[in-house]
Amino acid sequence: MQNKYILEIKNLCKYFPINKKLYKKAVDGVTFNIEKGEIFGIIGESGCGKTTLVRTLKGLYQKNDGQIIYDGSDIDLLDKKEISNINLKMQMVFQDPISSLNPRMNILSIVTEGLVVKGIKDKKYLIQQAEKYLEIVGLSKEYIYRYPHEFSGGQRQRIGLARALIMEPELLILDEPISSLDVSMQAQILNLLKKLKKEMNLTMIFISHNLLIASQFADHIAVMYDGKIVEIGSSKEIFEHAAHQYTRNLINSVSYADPNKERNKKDLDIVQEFNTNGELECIGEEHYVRKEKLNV
Amino acid sequence: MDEVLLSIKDLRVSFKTNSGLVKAVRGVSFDLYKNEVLAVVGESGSGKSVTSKAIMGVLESNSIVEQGQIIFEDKDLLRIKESTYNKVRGSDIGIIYQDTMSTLNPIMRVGKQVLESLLLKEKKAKKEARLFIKTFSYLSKAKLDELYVKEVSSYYLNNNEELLKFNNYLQSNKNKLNALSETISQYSKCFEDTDNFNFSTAFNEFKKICKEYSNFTPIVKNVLDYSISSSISLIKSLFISMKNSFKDIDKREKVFKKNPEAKNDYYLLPKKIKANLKEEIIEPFYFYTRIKEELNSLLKTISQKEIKNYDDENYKKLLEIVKEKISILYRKVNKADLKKEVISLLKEVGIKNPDVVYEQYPFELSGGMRQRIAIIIAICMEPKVLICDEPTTSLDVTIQKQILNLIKKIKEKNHLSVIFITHDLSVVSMLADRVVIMYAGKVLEKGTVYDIFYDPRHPYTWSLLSAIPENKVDEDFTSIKGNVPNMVVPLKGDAFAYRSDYAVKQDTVSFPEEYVISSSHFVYSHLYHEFANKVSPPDMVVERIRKSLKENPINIPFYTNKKNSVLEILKKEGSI
Repeated sequence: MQNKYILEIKNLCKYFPINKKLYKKAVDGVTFNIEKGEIFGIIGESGCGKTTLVRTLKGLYQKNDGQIIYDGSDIDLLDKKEISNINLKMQMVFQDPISSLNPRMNILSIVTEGLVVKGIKDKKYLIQQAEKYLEIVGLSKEYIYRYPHEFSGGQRQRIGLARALIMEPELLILDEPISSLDVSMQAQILNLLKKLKKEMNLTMIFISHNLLIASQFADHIAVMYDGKIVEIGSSKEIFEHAAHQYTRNLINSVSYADPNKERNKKDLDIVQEFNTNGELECIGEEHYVRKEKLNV
Repeated sequence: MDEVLLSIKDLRVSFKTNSGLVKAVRGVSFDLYKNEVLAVVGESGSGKSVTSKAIMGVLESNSIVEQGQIIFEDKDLLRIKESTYNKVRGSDIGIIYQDTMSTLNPIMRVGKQVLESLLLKEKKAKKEARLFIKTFSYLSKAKLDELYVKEVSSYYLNNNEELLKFNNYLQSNKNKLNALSETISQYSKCFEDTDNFNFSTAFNEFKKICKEYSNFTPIVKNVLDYSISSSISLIKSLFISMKNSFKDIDKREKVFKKNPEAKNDYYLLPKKIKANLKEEIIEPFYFYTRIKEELNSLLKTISQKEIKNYDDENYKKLLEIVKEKISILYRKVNKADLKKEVISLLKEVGIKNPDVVYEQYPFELSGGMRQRIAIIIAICMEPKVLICDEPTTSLDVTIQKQILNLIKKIKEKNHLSVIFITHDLSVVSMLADRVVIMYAGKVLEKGTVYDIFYDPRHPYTWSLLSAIPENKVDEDFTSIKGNVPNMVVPLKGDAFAYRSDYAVKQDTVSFPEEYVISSSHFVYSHLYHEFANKVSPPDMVVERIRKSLKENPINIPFYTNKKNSVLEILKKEGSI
């Protein structure tokens, strides 16, 4: 039977030790499902655990607790080979296009490194694949012998994308792919991602701190705060009927390129601290909010 | 609002690189008015950061400033000495960078870094107080004494004749100085004609002039700025002619053999004069304009009102200011007080646990926190101009909002003028009063924020406005096609023409001249040539403006040139 969900996360936890007794709960009991072929947005301010979350489910960090079910199979119950197969199907594009590319490798070896690790040695095939995927992401195939420093930010992000796509993934994890780019480049990259999603049948996890962009790009959104999901639902629901105060803060802090609107906008008092002890409650179709529980 | 504080005129900066000369800034001119926020907008590679670095005088070593002027307080910043620049940098013009990790010292506690700049501020305040008092005592011919201040004010009130005499005295001095500079210029001509010239007599003459000049200074220093500035230029021309005349070593040696005294003078006299000049004239002159303003307004209030009665309010004010300056001059700071001040500053910028942050290192803080610290350090010296080079680009939206609000608050409080460099138009719309749109090292459009957002004229501005991710049409985000051009290849004409749907043939030939839309709005595009055809702006831009004007009606910016205006289209429709 075909699984509806490509990824199911149950009660995932990742703690980092601060000292012998104290732990920083970077990801604390996160549960969500990602349907096949959707774009799933994860939103939150820096330090809320979004990156840790995706790194944990990609297997870059060892999880402390919880379940990761990829396409119907629990990762804990698989052997090494199967896990590495799944890891190939999950590819990641990193935030910083400068530090995520090795400055001493040319584009060919950066893009095909995954294939080489997989055991492909046919040089002709590698070059052919690299050229193919560079063209898919909108770069000229003549670039394969250049080095990362010769490219602009937008182009570097495309190279990172080509490196991920060459493994023919099912799930693409995008860790703030556009936040370090120019506004005009942002639109280009987003369009490219949309196109690729359609052409290559991808499922995407899209991490962002900008709720406006995420709500227009993603189908479902999870809002994270302090390692926990405080609100989750379809992006339209969240943007139009935000229920949690933190989500409202995020929406309020989105600034529009409209001087008059910006100047007429009243600044709400931004509450910084939230209580996240409550449980997620359903308040609408596929729309859950974490209620504050006061007396703990 | 109308006073120009900083003015950039036809700035051209290039970089020497392995692949050739990169022309990063190719002729940029704009003015910064007092108390305004000027946003400089453009994609990366448009030369906006290079412009800001040129203002601060911190361009990379492979840069060449080919042409242009940056005028700040009657000084051309591109043509002043490094030592003078050091006094402007930081204390008159402050800067915040995007990358806070490299702004702050990684191995120094945050509190200490702020404290360091507070100490500098204290030093600056003392220096200014000393000069204030010095100038004040020059003007009042009085010693630093409260009693004397009383006398001064009464003196100026009662003796208008004295004032007149004083003025005449200055006038005659001015004539004398002029005469002196003429003789000098004559002499420098003589120096050029070396064949029929007796060096030793010339040198003696020269010495005479110099001596006369050094006699002059005490009179000069007492009084007026024009005599000061002319004396500075005078001494410069003296040095130059002296150097020129003795370029040839053989001739110099000959002269020195004949006249051993000349040798001594040749080496020592300039130093003497220079030292004298620096201490007595140049330094006071540096603060002179500022202090003069302050004093003028003070003296005005004195002469207007009757202050024969010493209890008068204005007199008290004057006295208080002088007292304050004296107290600044003689106060001693101890570290405990300074620490308290640092902590209150940290609190002021919205840091909740200042005591903890004081003891932390930069890497322990989040990006927003670090940016706040950088802001404190930048505004500590109370600069007049603050340059913000993409301060919020690497920050979260919530933090970005807080930092922008903070900059706004500080700007109001300290009466700052801000140059805000960014590529994010939503930030611009929140903060800016005026906007300069830059592309490939050139200004393409400039105007008030309302001009740019509601009545954009340049095709590039149209593309920028439609590339904002918030307007999504048919599931697709609109983007500007193509990339920023490679600046190594010499660009001809309008660089944006290669990416524009509105390009005309002339665009590839020459850069367009300035076309005036209104008194505040200028555009550089061949589309506004009188023979160019009308074009219609992209639908998305029209739709944007229609929507935002419907939501929040505004006073429509006034414009005289109606060509290609979105507002004209909307007017025809009847939407506004």
